[in-house]
Amino acid sequence: MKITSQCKSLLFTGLLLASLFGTSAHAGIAVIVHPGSGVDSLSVSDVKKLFLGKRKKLPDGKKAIPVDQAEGSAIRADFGKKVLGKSADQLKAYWTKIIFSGKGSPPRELADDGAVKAYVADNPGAIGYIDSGSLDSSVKAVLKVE
Amino acid sequence: MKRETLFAGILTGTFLFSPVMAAEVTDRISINGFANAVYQQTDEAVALHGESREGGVDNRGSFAGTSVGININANINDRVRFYSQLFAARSEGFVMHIDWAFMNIDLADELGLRAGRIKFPVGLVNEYVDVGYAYPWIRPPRVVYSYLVPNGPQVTREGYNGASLLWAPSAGDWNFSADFFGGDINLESADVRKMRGVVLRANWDDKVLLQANRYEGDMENATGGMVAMNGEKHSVSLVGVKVDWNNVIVYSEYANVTMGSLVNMKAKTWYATLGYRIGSWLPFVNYESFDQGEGAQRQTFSTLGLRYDIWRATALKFELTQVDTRNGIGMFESPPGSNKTNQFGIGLSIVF
Repeated sequence: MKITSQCKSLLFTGLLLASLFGTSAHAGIAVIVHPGSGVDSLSVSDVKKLFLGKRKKLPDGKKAIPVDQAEGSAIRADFGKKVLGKSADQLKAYWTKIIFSGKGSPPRELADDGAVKAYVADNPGAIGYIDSGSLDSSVKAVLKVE
Repeated sequence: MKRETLFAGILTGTFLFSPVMAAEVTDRISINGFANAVYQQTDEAVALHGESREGGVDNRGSFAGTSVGININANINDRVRFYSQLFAARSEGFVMHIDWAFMNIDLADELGLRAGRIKFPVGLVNEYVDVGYAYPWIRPPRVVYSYLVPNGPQVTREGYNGASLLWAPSAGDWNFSADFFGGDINLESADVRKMRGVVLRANWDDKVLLQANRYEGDMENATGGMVAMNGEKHSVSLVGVKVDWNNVIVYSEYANVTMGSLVNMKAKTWYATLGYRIGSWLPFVNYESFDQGEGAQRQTFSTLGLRYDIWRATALKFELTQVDTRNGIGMFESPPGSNKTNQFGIGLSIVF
């Protein structure tokens, strides 16, 4: 795809605005799984347990591999607040206790929506979350949070 | 020494991989760490123990609580995971050693079997007792989390060699766990054999945690001042509650300790911490009591504390404590000059 320099600068302005306005930049959060997954929908409570390591399997019996967005990103803070019910500091404290007790590890961290989609599309047990606007047929949405 | 060889082995195995393997290794292995820088000083010439294995805190000041830890986990396959932690403290001459290292096998979704060297699980915070970032205080309350002093319930910080069956079911917002563990513990001046116990926890949405523990073990190979413990049965029964709800923070534990027929080793200890989180600030009060009954040792600690989460993953802490040795020498090396001793402390804790 050819991108003109005007488009590039528009894209740059958009990204700048997105980073300036933080959480208001994305429409909503879509929780996604592998397109071939037997799971069609999940509740906020299901997703919370999977991402906090309190449940290890998806409802179809596959071992769950939750993947997180980049630390400090707006969508991660929003997901923490709306789905996990915890602030970034509370999540840090939560995982500190689990890691150093030898009881588990936090979800793997990926760079952005594109990386999360690519990982989820490649791994049948993976579960991630992206901006609803980034949804496409490479993954399946099982929960949408506004 | 054996532990150093083991450490070198882990370092070699972990860090000296070829670049080609890097992506695969970072996928499978995670490395985290913590560090604490602590300074404490009292207004008493006689050292106050309970915070370090060698030496205590006196009016010349002490950095004994300063320590660093590295945590390395590896996914072996879908069912098996390896957990380990290396630890070094100022009070132990900064000799890095294996704090614990064990494998966890998922037998079922809610049932795991752990085997190896495992952190002693009795007490609300003992499994992460050296990770200052994880709790409000500079060091956890001495009357429960003491080192090798003949006071408190002797909830040891050493790992045990053995196995544990960990069952962790959940229902709605409640998460439960039952940890049945057994093995032996090797301390510097005694061994605990046929050690067995259970830790039961009920956790409501990470806001309220209730815990009950019972542990027993047979004392052997005790030397020095602990020789009378040989052949005796050591037991600790402990209940605890932790609250983190609407900015209200509560930690409280009660422990009942026995050492077979040795009356002077029996003790009841408890503490209660109450705090209120205001943004990044957490002011709190803490009261600790250690009591061996009428005529024997009694001691209390009253603390005013402040934790400030200065940056992400970085906590700065201040404490003012008054120690009251109502009876006996308490946790002091010898009888202190006054039965009231003041201590102040400052600590910086990070995780990475």
